[in-house]
Amino acid sequence: MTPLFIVLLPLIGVLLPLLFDRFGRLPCTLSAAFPTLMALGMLFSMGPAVMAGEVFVISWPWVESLGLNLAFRVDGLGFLFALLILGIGALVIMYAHYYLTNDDPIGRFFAYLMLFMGAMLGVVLSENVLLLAFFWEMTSLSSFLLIAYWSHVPAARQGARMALTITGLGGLGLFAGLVMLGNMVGSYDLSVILASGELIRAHELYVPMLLLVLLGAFTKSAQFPFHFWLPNAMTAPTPVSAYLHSATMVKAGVFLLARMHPALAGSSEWFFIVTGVGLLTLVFAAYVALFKHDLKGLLAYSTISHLGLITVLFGFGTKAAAIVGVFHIMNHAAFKASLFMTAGIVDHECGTRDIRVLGGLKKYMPITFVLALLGSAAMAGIPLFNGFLSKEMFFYEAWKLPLMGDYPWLVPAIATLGGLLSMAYSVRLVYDVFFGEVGETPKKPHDPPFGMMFPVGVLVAICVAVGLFPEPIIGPLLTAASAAVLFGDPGAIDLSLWHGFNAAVVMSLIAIFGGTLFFTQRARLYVLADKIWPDLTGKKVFEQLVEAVATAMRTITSTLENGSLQRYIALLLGFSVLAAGLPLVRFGIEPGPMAMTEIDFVSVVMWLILVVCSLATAILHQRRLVAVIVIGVVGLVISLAFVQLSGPDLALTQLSVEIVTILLLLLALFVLPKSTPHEGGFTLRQARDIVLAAVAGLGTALMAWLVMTRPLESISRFHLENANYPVGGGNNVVNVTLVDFRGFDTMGEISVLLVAGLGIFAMLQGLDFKYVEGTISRARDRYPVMLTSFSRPLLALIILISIYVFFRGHNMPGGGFIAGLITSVALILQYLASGIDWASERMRINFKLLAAAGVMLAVLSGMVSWLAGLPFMTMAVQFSLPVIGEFNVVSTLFFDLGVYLTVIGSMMVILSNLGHLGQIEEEYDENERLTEADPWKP
Amino acid sequence: MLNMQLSQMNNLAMLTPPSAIELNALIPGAIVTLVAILFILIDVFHRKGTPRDYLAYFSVVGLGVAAASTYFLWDDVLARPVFFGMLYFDRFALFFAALASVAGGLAILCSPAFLRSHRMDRGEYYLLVLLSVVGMIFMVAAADLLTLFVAFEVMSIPIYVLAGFLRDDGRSAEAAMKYFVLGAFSATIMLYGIALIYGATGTTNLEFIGHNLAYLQVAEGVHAGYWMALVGVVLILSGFAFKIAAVPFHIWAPDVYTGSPTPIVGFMASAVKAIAFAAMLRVMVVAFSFESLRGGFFGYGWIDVLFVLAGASMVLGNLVAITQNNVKRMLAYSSVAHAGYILVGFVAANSHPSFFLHNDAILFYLVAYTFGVIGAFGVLAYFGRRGEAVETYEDLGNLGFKYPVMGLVMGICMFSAAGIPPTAGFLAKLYIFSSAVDASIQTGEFAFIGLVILGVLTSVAGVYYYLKVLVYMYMKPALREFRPLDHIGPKVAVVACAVLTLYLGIFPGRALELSREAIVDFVGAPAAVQSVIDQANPIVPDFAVEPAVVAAEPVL
Repeated sequence: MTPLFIVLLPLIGVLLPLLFDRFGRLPCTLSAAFPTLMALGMLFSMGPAVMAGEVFVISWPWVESLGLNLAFRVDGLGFLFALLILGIGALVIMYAHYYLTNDDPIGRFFAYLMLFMGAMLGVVLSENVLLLAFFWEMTSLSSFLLIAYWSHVPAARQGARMALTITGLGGLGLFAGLVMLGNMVGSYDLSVILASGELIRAHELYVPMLLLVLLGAFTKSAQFPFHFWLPNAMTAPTPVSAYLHSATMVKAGVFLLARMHPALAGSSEWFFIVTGVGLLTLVFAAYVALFKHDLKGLLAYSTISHLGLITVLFGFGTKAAAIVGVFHIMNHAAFKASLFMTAGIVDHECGTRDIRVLGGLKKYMPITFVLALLGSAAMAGIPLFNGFLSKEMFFYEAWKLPLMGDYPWLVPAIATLGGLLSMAYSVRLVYDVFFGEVGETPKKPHDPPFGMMFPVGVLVAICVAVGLFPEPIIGPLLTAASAAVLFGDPGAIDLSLWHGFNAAVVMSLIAIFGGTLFFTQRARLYVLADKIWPDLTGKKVFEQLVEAVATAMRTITSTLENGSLQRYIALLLGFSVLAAGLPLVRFGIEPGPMAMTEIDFVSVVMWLILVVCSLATAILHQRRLVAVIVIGVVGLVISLAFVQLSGPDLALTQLSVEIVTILLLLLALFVLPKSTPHEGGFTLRQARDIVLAAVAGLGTALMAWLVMTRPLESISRFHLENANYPVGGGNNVVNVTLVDFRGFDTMGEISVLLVAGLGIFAMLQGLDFKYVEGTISRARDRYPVMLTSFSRPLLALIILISIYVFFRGHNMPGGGFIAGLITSVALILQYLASGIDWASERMRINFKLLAAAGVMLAVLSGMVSWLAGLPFMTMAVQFSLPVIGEFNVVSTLFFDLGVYLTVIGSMMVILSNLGHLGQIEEEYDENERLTEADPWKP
Repeated sequence: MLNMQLSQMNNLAMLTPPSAIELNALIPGAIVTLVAILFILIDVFHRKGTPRDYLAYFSVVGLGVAAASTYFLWDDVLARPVFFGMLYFDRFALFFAALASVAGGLAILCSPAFLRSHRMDRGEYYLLVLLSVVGMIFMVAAADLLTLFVAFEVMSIPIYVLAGFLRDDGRSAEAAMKYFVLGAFSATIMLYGIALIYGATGTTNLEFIGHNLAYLQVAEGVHAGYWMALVGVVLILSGFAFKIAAVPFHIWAPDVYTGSPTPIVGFMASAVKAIAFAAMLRVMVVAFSFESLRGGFFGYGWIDVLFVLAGASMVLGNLVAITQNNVKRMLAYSSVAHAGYILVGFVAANSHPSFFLHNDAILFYLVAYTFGVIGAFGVLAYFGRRGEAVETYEDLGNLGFKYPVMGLVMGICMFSAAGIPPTAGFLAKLYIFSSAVDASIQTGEFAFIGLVILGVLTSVAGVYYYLKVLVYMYMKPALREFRPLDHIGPKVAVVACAVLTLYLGIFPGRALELSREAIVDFVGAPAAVQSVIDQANPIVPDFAVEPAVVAAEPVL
């Protein structure tokens, strides 16, 4: 349970500072320190066992099907990192208490800090790699919050966003990599993964997986070319920089390298990528650090450089190098955190951290000076400090490196150069800040309160103590951690101060003296650097990259999505044609075996009419009335085509639908301007549309030809054979199919009709319609006598016909749908001929309800059979009436009636509402006329 | 061939008249239909000038009952199609029926105050949502292309109308116009695809299409009649791609999302997309899962089409979303990106019959995504007062501190959308990508890994623009004052969404189980897939019918 508590305590601790905020600063700080110290205590309680080489693994199932368990692991490596996180965390909390001013919301700060601490502990103590990725993302997010803590500073927000983008990118890459890793091994548990190094390295997906995992490690540890987020994150409050950006978060990357060392290291890909990136970072960042005028900027680049060094060590892939890597992680955490805090003190007390302004602080802040001096000495790798030990071991490993073939000198040379530059900037840090002339600083400098120096003192004391007595202080911990990294016995680790005169000593000497020399010549160097160093920073590249992507996307958006419906349709059609055309290209075009039928004269004429009218619709579309008439002809020809192809039902349906559609269009035209605006001459858009239309049309024709030359054996023969009594209960196959075999689809279709009717009703009813300029001026006589007097007797006649059509439907062409349309036409004719008021006075029917009742009836007619204990829609009663003759009542008849009612209801809702629009306009007209005729009317 | 078909029909129990037990299949849909019809009746007697809140609550309760009915029907499913092979009554259909009902209910809850503020407090609004849900319920259950298409229209038409419901608002009218014209257009293309399939196979029943295509392949070989079916498949696919808003069929989404009433956008982005995915899965697996038709990694089949759509959607959706300034527009592009992620899972799970069970990742993703997206649009609807609606990032300034609940909900929803733990979105993404990786490891195909990497890298853009919302809500000052639409409905809805998003992120066990059960109970799959399902589910249900194995005898 202990590991779980260690992770959970800081996460619970997120709430405490927020709660204690109201009681003042000190209780707030203590409430953050308390869980930290408690967790630290629990960690210590596990110390002896861990030092003895024990590995604690606890696991609870969480999402088992995903392999995601709540599993934690405390081994030497995890213990070491947890110690760093909690120990330095406690010191940072103390430091922050003095660092933050009264204006800063301290509760929020500590809440973020505890969130980060919990996440970081989660990363280092996870047994399940998915859990690790989970906490990894949480560190990115909490660091985002911490960097943007001073959210009123734009640079802080910018830096925070950049940090999040880069580390978030890496985190997601890591996530993908770890998922791959887990799938390769078959488990997401570290114990299994670490034991399957051979299998992993031999897997064919090893390289992509490795790249993804390394992307995560490199972005987090700010390795080139992802390094630039770290300097820009320096806008964070200094305690954050000391904690996240030197001691812990940036170490997560190298932690990952250490963690995955047994599973991933040892291949040549690993060696070249990791070592290469590390070396480049080591030298590059150290060089840049030399020129940084911002104290924290200098430290940031120095951190990057040291992380590069650690990366190189893990890249070597040898046991000894990995041990040194772990050692340097500890050392760097100690001295760099102390230096960051020192920089914070300087900033806090002087009001600036610009090295060009600062100077001669030795006099004013003697204690700080001593602490900084000792910390820098450790950073530079001066003997008797901890930094010296690990650096010398690094040089030694570089020298011994067996893998470099013909270039054995390359790695040692670069390593020495890195050490040299490190020495140079360390000297510069101390000299420029504490020696020389006293600068004009915004505040008068003096030593800070004890509480601020104490954490620095502790860290510096560790540096010195480890430097002097490495074996007793750090030996057991290093052994345990190395055992975890190597997943085996590390053997005896030689931590003595003097190994005898060897290559490493020479390299160290070159670095120390060369570095000092470099520093003395820095004035010339600056001049030179200004000349040759391109004005190119990672930040700029990143920003330009983001900007370029944004510009490209804006261009894409404005070309693809300019808001024009025509363009959208063209794109939609274009892509459909493309997608459908590819199979044609791929598989070739082959006509089927069927012979072509003869072409008869009538068909050709009809075909010509169809083509001409279709073209005319497109060409004349600006004159709306004409276009509607012409498109009506197209519909008519299609109905005739159905007649010719022996589909009278289809023809009848098509015809009635066509008529109703035209009516609809005419009613809509009533409220629209006479013609659409002129578009100008022949445009590119028209050319595009013509090409698209031609391609799509020809493609469709081609498809039709190919389909029709193939024999078709369809389900329809089954319908033909089974349509009549007793199965279907009718002689008209089409209608039986509609109301029986496919009754469900019909029910769905009438629902569509109902929905459409309701939709149009919702859109039109009560609409406050305004008079549109340019509508057609209409005849004075709105209701011609001839039409009015003709339409009234016609109503009865048409309804009679529709009833006839309805009843004959079951055995001959006809049926509920067509009958409904015919009735609607009859009714709407009354609206047209006699006016809305006249008609609605006489038709007091709620058509909306009628439509709903129709659907209900259709549903119920099916249900009746069910209630009678028979299957759905299977009732037929035959009886004969005098005069009318044989009569068949089947359940489908009621179903058809439902269809009939729905069609009438929906059509009337649609048409009468459209008609009402015209009515409003008419009233408007009359009002106009009244005002003209009667100027005294109000 | 006809004889063969008839014997198949016998085997599939399609010629036996439906028994009374099959009516159970209609229950969820019937409940919603009944609620809709009762709704019309009640609305007739509505007293003018009074708010219609009670009608909204009535619809929500009705949808809740429909969703609950799926729970009680969960164990009554049938292992064969019902009603002459028109519908499936399986857990897969029930799963999505519940999802559609819940999404509809949540969207309705967000609406009353919003509509009143826009002076469109009308009963038809809720009615149309109800009818759309009816269409959705039948669409996922459809076992026949025609039934599917009809249900597709029942689902779509109300949405077209709802998009333009704020008829005094020019942008809403524009949205409806564009959505309708483009939607009708793409539906026509889809219908043409269905006609081609009918031409090639002589049937519209999904399982028969599958059988007949297998027969065609034997009789004519891949190169002759077969591609005709492929053209049809691709055209049908383009119809689905339109509804799920996958690049390049996404062009309508930004304009429509921006103009439509905000609560409806949440419904559109969640339920419509989820149902379209479900129906696509059904059609593709049942009818078109033949090796040569499926293709895969540039053998050019529908998997390849989806592969391209997935990649394009993730890249374009995410990158373009960065450049947006309007939050609704950003969410539109992000929904395109999410379609891409889901397609990654779709491609991986259906590239080979043996991966079929990975489809449960899609189901879980759709659930997680639904709550996240409705929550986000619910918050926007809460600040959607007519004339002073929150639209751009700047408008969000300081809202997080001023309205802590809404800020928190938005935060959770954005985290979920970005795939950040501990929200449902994280697990969903993990599940999807993990299934793709698994497919890759098992087949050694790099293509999946490529998609996953593309997905992961483009997610970074997602993190960027989703967090931008939070940065504005919590770190930027308010430039304008906004009066929220203080109403209990949206509050309940968005808090429910946020709680569910967190719950699914922390305790996903039950939801994952349900997704798995829904996939295992998928009815109608061809033999190759069915054997994979049977391995996962050794218990044979009562009504199981042996899969029809009919020796294909060449007639030609």
